[in-house]
Amino acid sequence: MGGEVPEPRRLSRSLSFGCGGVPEEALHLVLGYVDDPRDREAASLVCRRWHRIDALSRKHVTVGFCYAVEPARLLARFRRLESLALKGRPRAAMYGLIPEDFGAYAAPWVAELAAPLDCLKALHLRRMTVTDEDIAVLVRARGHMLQVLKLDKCSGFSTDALRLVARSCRSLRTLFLEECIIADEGSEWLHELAVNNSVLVTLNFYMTELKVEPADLELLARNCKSLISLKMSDCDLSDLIGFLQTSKALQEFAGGAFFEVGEYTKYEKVKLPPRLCFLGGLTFMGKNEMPVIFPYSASLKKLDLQYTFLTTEDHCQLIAKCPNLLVLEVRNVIGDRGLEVVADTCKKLRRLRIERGDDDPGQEEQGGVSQIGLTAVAVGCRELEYIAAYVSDITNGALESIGTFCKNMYDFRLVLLDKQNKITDLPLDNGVRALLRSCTKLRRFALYLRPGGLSDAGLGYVGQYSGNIQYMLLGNVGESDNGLIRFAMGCANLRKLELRGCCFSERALAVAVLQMPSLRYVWVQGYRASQTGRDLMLMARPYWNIEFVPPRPESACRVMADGQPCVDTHAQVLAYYSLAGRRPDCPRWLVTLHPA
Amino acid sequence: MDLLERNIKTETEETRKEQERKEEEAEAEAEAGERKTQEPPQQGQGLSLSLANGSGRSGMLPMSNVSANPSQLTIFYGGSVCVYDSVPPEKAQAIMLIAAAAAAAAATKSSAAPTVKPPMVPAATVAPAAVVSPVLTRSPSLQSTSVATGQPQVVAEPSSICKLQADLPIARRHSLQRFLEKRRDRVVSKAPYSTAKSSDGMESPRIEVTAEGKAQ
Repeated sequence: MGGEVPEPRRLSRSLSFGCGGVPEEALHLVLGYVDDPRDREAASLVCRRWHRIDALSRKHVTVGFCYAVEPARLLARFRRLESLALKGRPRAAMYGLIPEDFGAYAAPWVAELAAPLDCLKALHLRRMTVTDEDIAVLVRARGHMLQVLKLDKCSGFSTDALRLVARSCRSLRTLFLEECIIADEGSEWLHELAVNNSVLVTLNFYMTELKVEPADLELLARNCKSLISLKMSDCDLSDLIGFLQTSKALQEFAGGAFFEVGEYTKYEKVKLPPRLCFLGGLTFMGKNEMPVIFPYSASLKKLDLQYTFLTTEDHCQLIAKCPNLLVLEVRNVIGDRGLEVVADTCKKLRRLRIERGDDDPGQEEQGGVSQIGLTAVAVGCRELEYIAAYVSDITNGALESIGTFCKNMYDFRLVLLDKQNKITDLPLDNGVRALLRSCTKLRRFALYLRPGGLSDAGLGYVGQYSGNIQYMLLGNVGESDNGLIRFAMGCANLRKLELRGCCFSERALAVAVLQMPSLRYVWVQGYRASQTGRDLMLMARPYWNIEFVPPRPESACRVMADGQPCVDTHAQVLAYYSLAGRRPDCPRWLVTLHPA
Repeated sequence: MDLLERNIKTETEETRKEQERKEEEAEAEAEAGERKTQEPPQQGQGLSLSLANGSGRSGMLPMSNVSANPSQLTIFYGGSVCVYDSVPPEKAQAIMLIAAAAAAAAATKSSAAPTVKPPMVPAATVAPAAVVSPVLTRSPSLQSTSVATGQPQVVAEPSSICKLQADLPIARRHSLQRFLEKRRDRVVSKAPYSTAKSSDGMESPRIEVTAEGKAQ
């Protein structure tokens, strides 16, 4: 602290140099080159003048949680925004763990900001509730200016709103609707888009279940020569032959489906665009249909096989032909053998996602990923920056391998599936420590295990070696409250924490929250919850909202040997910093906790 | 004894091929032999790595510089001794890590006691390789078996830990869940189905996860 004292004086002297100090225009230009939001944040604290110039020159703002700040406050500070991103429901909503009526409504934001933000041309909403009316307000105010509209995993609107967008937003270059839940009132919206827009570059309604007419896609391809990326809901690939032939510039395509498997003759006429380097969807593609993409294998950079019908052997055969992959997404049917082929073939791989396949009785898929596959990939694909893997078995050694060889790892997520009774090597304390110590670039870390998967000592390592990690998801880790406290003491930079299925008490959660200086958001499900959330109040402080889903009534009488409540699977805690104060639109099932 | 000597005297070219094949099969215990330039961290190492110590030692081995001199790699496996020249330290460590992972899996396999399917023995052009290959070619089978046992249908015991686990199932992303449901419908309606080898029975699909999600 003492060391900082001379700094302001030096700045003051420097600013007073020459006639009237540094010109405002110069400072404006300099700040224009500062892109990192945290650097911006720091610069705006220098003095009132810098604060004002930062506000005027800021082009993009991301609001990490839509209840953290009021729209009016954002508007008051950043009047010249060109791009705004908003996040709504907790991430757990993607997995069906948050009820639909949680909130996260886009309406207040659109109503307050659409008209006054004169420069706004890009809007990105994630996991929010968006109505047709919200989109209508947005289009009326900004339709002529809008270039990017991203509704990511949103719900609540219909294709009627899309028709309005298609008719009114003729400058739209990106329309992103991936994994939205959209009421389908007909496919006219796509026809309108094809007729009215000639500058579209990216169209994404992947995983939306919307019906489309192939003729409208062909029209779109003819009118939008700039179309580079199309990711759509499932449509039989044989109906898209015309579109694919017309789209000369297309580089990314996802959504073609093989509804008539076993009849290869129907698909052998399919020719993909010459510049294609991303391929996804391919729903129901099996061994007999794989030859459709063999001619393009060597040029593919991104491949999404999560929705195919491929066996482990099929994966091996196909991936062996794809030496230039940067991104690969598969289900765990790929197996360890498939991952060994990945390790041998895909030396440039940067992102790998291994999703969990079908494991219901009678539907189980062959394959399964374990330390063998993970180790092979760690050794063979050293450029990896992102791994998300659902594994059946795991060892400390595999995690050590990742730490040793994957120095560029930025985002690591591991889920240990619960079907297999015996795991080779638990707890994973030493492997986790090695990984965290070696992967110094890590920013996001997720570890979802089972009881006994990580001891209190291991949880302490996670905190101690958390380094610059800003987001963590931890499931079934630790043995007692002590583990959580030790974890929290080490997390200097953690901003967002999600915990699930842990054995911690409310008191420990509260103490841990207070220990982490950078934490601004925490979500917990499955902990030793009291009926009233009594001990959660220990974390009360200014600008800190605490929201609580009470445990089910039947668990009220269950008490463990030490007198503490049992772990309740229903109870949830959501706590976060907010300049806006308490939510005005809480659903009835959510209790807000606050000092009397 | 004569066989061992012949193995040790294997020529460099064959040594390289052997090394590549061994890397792919990833089934060996490895030991770094004497280095031309002695390095202090290596002095404490024993002559061979036992299975129990494999993981620990692999993790603790220091990462040498890429510029370090390549050295000799000796592998003891199945009664055979193979010596490789000019092995970079980094590659040696990679081999040992892969071996440790495979050894751990093999340990799991032996405890589960499944039946190992006899693999086809490939024809070999060199006599020493022919002697070695029957043992080495079991590696793919071992891995296959290990992976197969990776998904056993084990009935969970009604202990409190398993109960907690069952109460809070690992959730699945909406989009993947929808695909798997469509896949089940498709498998049922298309029976008998030629392409999907994984579909054995025609049991009615369960939607436990979905129901659980809605119950929230």
